[in-house]
Amino acid sequence: MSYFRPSNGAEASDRLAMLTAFAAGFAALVHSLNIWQAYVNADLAAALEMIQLVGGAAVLMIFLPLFIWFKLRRGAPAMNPWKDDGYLGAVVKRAGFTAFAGLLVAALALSTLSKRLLPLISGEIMLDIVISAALALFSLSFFIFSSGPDGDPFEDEA
Amino acid sequence: MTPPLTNRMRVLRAEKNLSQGELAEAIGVSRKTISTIETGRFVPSTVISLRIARYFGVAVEDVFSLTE
Repeated sequence: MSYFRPSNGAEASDRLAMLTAFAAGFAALVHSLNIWQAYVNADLAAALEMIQLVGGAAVLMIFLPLFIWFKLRRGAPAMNPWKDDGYLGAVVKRAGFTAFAGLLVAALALSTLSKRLLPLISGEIMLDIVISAALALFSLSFFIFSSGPDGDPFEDEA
Repeated sequence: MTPPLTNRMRVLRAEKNLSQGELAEAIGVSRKTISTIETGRFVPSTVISLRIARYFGVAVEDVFSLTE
């Protein structure tokens, strides 16, 4: 069984969850370039914009076909990382909840500090920070929650 | 607090000479789900627990039990 040819629908569903978390992390990285563009000189900002464009295209050209590929290989319609009750389905939900909680805390903190922050940071940059942080938090929590020992002791012994 | 859950899945698998992947495929979950249930990192849903018990032809209580 290769990574791109999962043995069954449940494995495909797990791959879909991992791919989503990886794509969210990548999207966070690409989106966060918006923030840096506001604080660097014009040449560097233009270069960052180009990197962002290439990154955005990579998300569409690499992750989207893979996403469709795994979605088609999922088999039974019930096998969906957001709906099924398997391990990675639970991790996706937990990571989603963590990202939502982080987003709420960040929005509350920014709202409280808005009078002090708005003269220094534009509202647009604030939104970019919140969006990038939420995507990064989802991706990071997914990989932290799903990490740990994994393996079949019987197959390891063989 | 939820009391710890133990299970006899590894024993039942050994009796049938099954790999985690084979069991996962038979009950329609991923291998990672089986491996994390066995190590106690993941508490399965009622549906998955019933599917596992039905596959081995035993009662759910013969697969899963509370340690206290």
